[in-house]
Amino acid sequence: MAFMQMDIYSKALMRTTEVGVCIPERYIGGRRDNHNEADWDKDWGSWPVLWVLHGASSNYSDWWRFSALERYCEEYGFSAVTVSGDLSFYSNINTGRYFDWLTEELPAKLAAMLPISADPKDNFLAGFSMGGHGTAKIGLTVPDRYAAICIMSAGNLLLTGWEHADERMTKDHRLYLGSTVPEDLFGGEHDVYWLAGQAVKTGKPLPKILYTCGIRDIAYEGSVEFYKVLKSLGYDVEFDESEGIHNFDYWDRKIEYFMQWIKKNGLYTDRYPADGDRRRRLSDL
Amino acid sequence: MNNNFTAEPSKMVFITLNCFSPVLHCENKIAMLVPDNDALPARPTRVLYLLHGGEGSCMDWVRFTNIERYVCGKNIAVVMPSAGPSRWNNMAMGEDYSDYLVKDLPRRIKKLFPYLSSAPEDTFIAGLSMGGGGALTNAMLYPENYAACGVLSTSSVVPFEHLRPTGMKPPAPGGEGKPSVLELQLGVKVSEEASGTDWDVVYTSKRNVAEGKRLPRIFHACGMKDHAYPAALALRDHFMSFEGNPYRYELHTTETGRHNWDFWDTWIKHFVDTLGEGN
Repeated sequence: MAFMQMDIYSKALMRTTEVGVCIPERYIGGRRDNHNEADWDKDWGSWPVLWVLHGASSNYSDWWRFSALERYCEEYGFSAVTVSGDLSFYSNINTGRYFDWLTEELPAKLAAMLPISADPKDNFLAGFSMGGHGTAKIGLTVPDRYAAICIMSAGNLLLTGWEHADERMTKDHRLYLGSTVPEDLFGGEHDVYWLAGQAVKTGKPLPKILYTCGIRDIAYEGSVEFYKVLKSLGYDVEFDESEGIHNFDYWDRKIEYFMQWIKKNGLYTDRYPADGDRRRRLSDL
Repeated sequence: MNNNFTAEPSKMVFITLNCFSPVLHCENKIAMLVPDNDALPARPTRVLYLLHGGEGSCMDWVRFTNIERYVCGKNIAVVMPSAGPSRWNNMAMGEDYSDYLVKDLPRRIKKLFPYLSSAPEDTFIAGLSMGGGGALTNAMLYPENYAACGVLSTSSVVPFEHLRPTGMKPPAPGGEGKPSVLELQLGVKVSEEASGTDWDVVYTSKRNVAEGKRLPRIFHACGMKDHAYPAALALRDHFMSFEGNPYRYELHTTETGRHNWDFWDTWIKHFVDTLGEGN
């Protein structure tokens, strides 16, 4: 596996920010257990890419530190990208256009730099908590950019925990969402129910959705409700629930499950149709 | 572009890459600077392999010089690996760092960054001190892989190592009584015993000329106050002894130049400037 950390300037954020990337090496002759000189001469094309979003108040390093994301990427043949979303709720906010960075500027830069696919059929999006909200928000705002998304442990942000918000959280709402009153935000860009309806109206291709939440997670009821909203709007959505709370034990399991689910649903594009042996090895996983 | 309140943002991306090397049989960290493009550049980006000095690491050049600013806008990427305990050679008692640097790493970089050129005319190698010796040694061993070689103040070069002041022998990494650095790296007690091997630049540079190989240009810089200056003069005399200067060898020197980052920061810029714009 190749794992890299980038310090890169973002026009959308108007500052230098960080990105984490892993690229599978299993099929380019790089691994100690699978070294094959002939692999160097093959053109393996570009890898499917999983954009993985962290929760509130964190950065690009979370997924690499607290889950085995890189190991799963190697095993299932995905590249993965993490960004620093800070407290942005993955929106364009006063302090930086995080949504634009994540959906436009960075994908263009990485596609020019690395062997990762820019084709929507090879692009997948997942995240938990604030990243689950981000996954829904982005996946429903630019629905034709991702083949599938995985919302983890997040319901409609505007219906979740506002009545219990402490002073600090209230400040976050004011600074980053623009209001401390959720009703002010209904029918806008932070309202995933509204976004889900808008996406259907565009007539664009919609991503397949895997929705997962632990049954003892504080976001469980909100997740079930959002799932029902998506279902009623006609989305191809599957709800997955199992024992678990709002933590990385759960998300670590589920990010691997999402990769398995992508393959099970035939969404992983075989990039080497001429090479029967390796094609079998990739898609049989 | 730039206003008076902020520095102009860099047009380079700084990357630390961790990946496995089958040659070294180990995971390794590599520092990189690559142009920050929104789209593929009109022509493939050139690559400078930039080597650190003795007891250093892949982070040295970015920590102690302005290399990022010097390469900016020249359509050139910088790849900075780590030499581990080697002198960028295949160690007598250790791993094959030359094979790693010349064979393993470039093809890995090519796989991971497809827009980087792997053509010899777009590939350069340079380094400071022990890394300058490593750049020269590997460029002489694989002359057709590189268009230019930058050597900054090195005395770690067979067969001129005796020209460095005595008393500069590092302790054995394994502790007292264990093999010395030279024994680990070259399998010899004194450097000159490695004369006539692949790690002897006089031997390999003559062999290249005799065999009619395509030869890289050599840019050499060493200050007069540098302990490596006598070795620099010996290298100059050797390379200028070829008829017609086939290596297009140049030695640059200053009266005040010492064996330090001030000198290397200044002269890596001069070397990079000789590589042109490349766009």
